[in-house]
Amino acid sequence: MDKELINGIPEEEENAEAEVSEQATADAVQAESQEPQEENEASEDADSESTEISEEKADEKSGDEISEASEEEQEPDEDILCIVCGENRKGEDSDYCPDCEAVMYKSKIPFLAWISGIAVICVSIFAFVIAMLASAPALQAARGETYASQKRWYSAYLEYSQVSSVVDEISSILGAESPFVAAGKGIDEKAIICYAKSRSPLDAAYLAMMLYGENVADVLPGVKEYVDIYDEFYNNYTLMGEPLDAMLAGATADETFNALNALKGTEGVNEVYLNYFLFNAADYYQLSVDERLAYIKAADEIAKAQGRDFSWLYNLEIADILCHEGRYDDALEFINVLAENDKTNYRAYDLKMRIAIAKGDTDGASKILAEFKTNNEGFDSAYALEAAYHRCTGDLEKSKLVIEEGLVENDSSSELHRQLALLHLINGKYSDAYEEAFTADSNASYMANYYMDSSGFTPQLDNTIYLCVNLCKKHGLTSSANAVYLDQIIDYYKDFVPSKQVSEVLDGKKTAKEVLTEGVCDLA
Amino acid sequence: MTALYIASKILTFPGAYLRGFWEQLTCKILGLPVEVPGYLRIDEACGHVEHGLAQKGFAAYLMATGPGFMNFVTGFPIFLAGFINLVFLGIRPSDSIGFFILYVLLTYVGISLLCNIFPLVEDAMNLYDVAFAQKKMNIIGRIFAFIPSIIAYAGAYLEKYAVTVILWIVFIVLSFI
Repeated sequence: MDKELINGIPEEEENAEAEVSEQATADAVQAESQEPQEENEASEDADSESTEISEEKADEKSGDEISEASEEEQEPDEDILCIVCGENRKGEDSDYCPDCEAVMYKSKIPFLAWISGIAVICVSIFAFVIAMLASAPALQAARGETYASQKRWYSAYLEYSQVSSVVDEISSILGAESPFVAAGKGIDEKAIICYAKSRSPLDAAYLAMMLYGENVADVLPGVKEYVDIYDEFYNNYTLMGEPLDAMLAGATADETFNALNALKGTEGVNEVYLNYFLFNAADYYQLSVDERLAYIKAADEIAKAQGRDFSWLYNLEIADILCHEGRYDDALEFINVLAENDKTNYRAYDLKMRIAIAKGDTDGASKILAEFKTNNEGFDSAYALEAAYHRCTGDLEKSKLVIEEGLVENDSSSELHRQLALLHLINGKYSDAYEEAFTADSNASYMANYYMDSSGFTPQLDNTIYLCVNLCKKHGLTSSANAVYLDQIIDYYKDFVPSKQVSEVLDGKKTAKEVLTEGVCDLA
Repeated sequence: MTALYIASKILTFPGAYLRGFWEQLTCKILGLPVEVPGYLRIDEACGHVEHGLAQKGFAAYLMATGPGFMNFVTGFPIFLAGFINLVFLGIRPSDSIGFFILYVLLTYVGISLLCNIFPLVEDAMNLYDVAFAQKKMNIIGRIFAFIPSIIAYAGAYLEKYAVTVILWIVFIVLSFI
């Protein structure tokens, strides 16, 4: 080891000690080198005194002694000498000579090291406080991460959305906003990504733009993909706006289809969207299911060729149509994709479960329910699906109990109130059904206005409200807090085209109980 | 391999330097001679100090685990404060450039400390030799020291081949993806 490396010692002291060490080393080396010299001299004396011994033998003897002496000289270099200076002998039970050891014991810790050590302890205490303050919102976000990794996108979205609330709670406890406890834009980005996966990229882009304005992609690079989809969708919608407006104004099916097909190959027109709008036109003109399905299949093939996934755009709609036509296996083909991609997709699981019940597979339906409940424990959607399951299987009492249990913690749920409205319709309590449908609509509006979550507005809700108001109008309201709005609501829905099930009930062809406990078991 | 080791120590120099400091302090407390108190040297002892080997069980245990423990105790909160703000709370430069830099620095310093928590192989071997082979530690001490000794022994080899730094780099990359 290089002696110069011994630092942390004053230079003068080090030099003085080095001189002492050098002197001691020189003495030791001199003492060692004297030993073989003396032995050689002794050998020469022996040669001169004894002339009987031949010169050869004398030479051999002399040679042996010299080699032994040289071995003795080499051995101490490796085992006996100090590993620092390499010159002095090691002390007892030590790798170092006493001189070096003395120097080593005196070595001082550098001033910079003391400063660093104290500084790191201070920083560590400061960091500990920051970590503790940030731990509650971080745990909330970590739960979001866990749900996202399990494809429980809506649960993840809710967890991320609540991080800011936790930060606010900590600020209120501290009595002031701390800059060290804050939710960054990364949280908003994650929330929007989860929302896109649980609802649709269009809804997510809308939410992002409501939060950050038109230039949201600059602030949150992760949501650029959804903003691009949003722009592309509305550009296509604008390009196809003329034939679609004409369709609503009374154009014939041929005119509409010709006008839309003429747009094929036009710059900016994505044929996935074109086929989707053709499907909507076919739906509007009530073309056969196979014709409608053909457009969706064409859109699907083009999407696959583009390497993109548009299942969020049309899978649920087409599955609904196929389900109502009794083509359950075809419907499942579309719905399974959605259920696989999002374990919190209530509408996908609801349809999947109702298809299983319609096929007579109650065990399969209960397994679907169990899977959904596992992934959405405590959420209103889990209670709503369980309530729907019991209603579909005819256990209305159990269904009511589940809804009441769910409403204790999820009173703002739109779907739970709708499920309760369906139960009241079955029992002929139209005024109560109207009240629950009214609350369901209010809750859906609240979610849309305050949380940008428009998922509560479904065709099922529209049909439920439509059926309730019309049955109330027909049978008369007995006791209702919101009776004054009845005519306004009827007027609002005057152009609404109800589903086949709703029409059958209103026409008296079927009872509400038959519609809601048999077949597809819902109103849309 | 030495080059990789030295590179890992240079990459985590704050932790390596402090590790050397804790080692020298421990030597001072235990009355062990310290050969070279330069902490960041370009050799196989970079981030450590050459010192006389402890001859007693508890001293050998303290020498092998004490400095690493100090780095762990100080490094973990520092790492946590930076990491949870960057990864879980999503702090971005657009939120606050100052806080973003602070959290990046905290994460780096924390990781650099946590990358230097294991002893030199010589110290780990000395602990095994003194405490378990020569049994210069009582049975209760040996029971309590057993698991930390295994961790220190295995960790010494991981650190020798820069595996700890590589694992941390992989962890950080995966966390931010």
